[in-house]
Amino acid sequence: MIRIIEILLKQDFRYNYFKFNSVLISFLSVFLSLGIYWYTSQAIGTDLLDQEGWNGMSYFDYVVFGEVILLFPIFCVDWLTRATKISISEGLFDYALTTPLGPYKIIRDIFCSGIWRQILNISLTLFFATVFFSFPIEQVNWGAVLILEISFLPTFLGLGIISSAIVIQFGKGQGVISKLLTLLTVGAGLYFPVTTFPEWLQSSLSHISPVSILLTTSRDFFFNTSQNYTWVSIIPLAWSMSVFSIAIIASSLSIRRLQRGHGTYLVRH
Amino acid sequence: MSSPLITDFGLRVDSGEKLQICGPNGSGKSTLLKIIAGALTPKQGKLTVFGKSMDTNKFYIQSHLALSTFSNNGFFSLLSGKENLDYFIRFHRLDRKKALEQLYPLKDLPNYRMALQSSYIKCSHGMRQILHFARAWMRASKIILLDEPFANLDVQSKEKIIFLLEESDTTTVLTSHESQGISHYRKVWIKNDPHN
Repeated sequence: MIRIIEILLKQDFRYNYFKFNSVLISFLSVFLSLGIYWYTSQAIGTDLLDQEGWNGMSYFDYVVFGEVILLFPIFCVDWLTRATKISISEGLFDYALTTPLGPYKIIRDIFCSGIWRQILNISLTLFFATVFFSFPIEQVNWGAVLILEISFLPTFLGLGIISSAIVIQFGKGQGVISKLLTLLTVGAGLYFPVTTFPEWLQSSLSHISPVSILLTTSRDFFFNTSQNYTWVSIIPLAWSMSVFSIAIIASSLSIRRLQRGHGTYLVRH
Repeated sequence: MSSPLITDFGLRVDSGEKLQICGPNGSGKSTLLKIIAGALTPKQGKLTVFGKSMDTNKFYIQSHLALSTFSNNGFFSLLSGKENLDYFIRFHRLDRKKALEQLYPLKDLPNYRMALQSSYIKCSHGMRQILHFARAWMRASKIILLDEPFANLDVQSKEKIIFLLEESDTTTVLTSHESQGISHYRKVWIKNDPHN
């Protein structure tokens, strides 16, 4: 498994960082985003600190922390969809259908080979935010945040598999999925608290949306607030079970339908 | 509703037999190979391999069967031929030593070394064809299915591959739109229009 990822890391690196300039641009883009948040925060000032939903954070801390929390879960959904698309466009998916291990092994390998980029992205964001913008990294209960992230991971992987099934089924849809993810993250309160939404939307977002629950609870951990989060452990479990059940059904149905000749991209001669 | 590509088609291939499926472009030769390989499911009919039904023994059948098809690439474009084969050795969980031994005779092919060193995207059609054959061949499976294996190949490479297939006891099914080339293979024709 490690050797497989090592081989595909080369492909991933050559694809994403073919020239030194592209490495530099990816570093700069992280810095630029942080700069925009910083100046927005400066413009807003300290007015937000006492308002409900902002957890007493500055705008910069609020958004950067939220982004760090959501980068990996969103990556799971987005990158799994992209990995499926790559496997299809490279013809690897079609080849894998003729093997006993099936296409999901190749998709998994491509997915794993791209994880390092996201870890680098998260590390860079935290590093730049702490060193250049005084992000209070020491204030966060990272242990609790990590446990929460891991417990929600199956949910986001399941959502990624469902997205992959959509791409397999229709041969497209990656763009729509990206837009939906953006909506989901904004709706979860990445840039402003859920409390600013209409009341009917607030309750469904804060009690049902896994992105929202993950974000809100993680922000509470920012200040090590020791509320009772027992119920939070039930939510990821319930989400994981239901999302994974749907994911398994969706993926097997999409592949079966494709093999019956309803696919849009299997080449016929 | 699209009309079926192949209808009323029956075929029996004995163990170790060498078979060539002939037919014009668009007659369904590649589709037939994909059906035999388990990538596509026929709307009607029954496929039995090693006396076992594909419907219930797909994993077993696909473990002993290798398909080489040039139509959809199927390699990582930015990895070299060697890196790609290395990946597929691990993907198929093959014994690395045995797989390399199986690939050893291919070293005599004129463009094999260059195909191993170049990234797949930079390989010529002939070099890609060799890599496709190498990936199927290294599995040393009981059945090998080759879709237009000699298209884009030079005479020397073609003769070497025919020789390798001849020497082995692997059941070989290959497609070609021309009937010439491999005189001693049993030939089966697919008609272009199934309704005529």
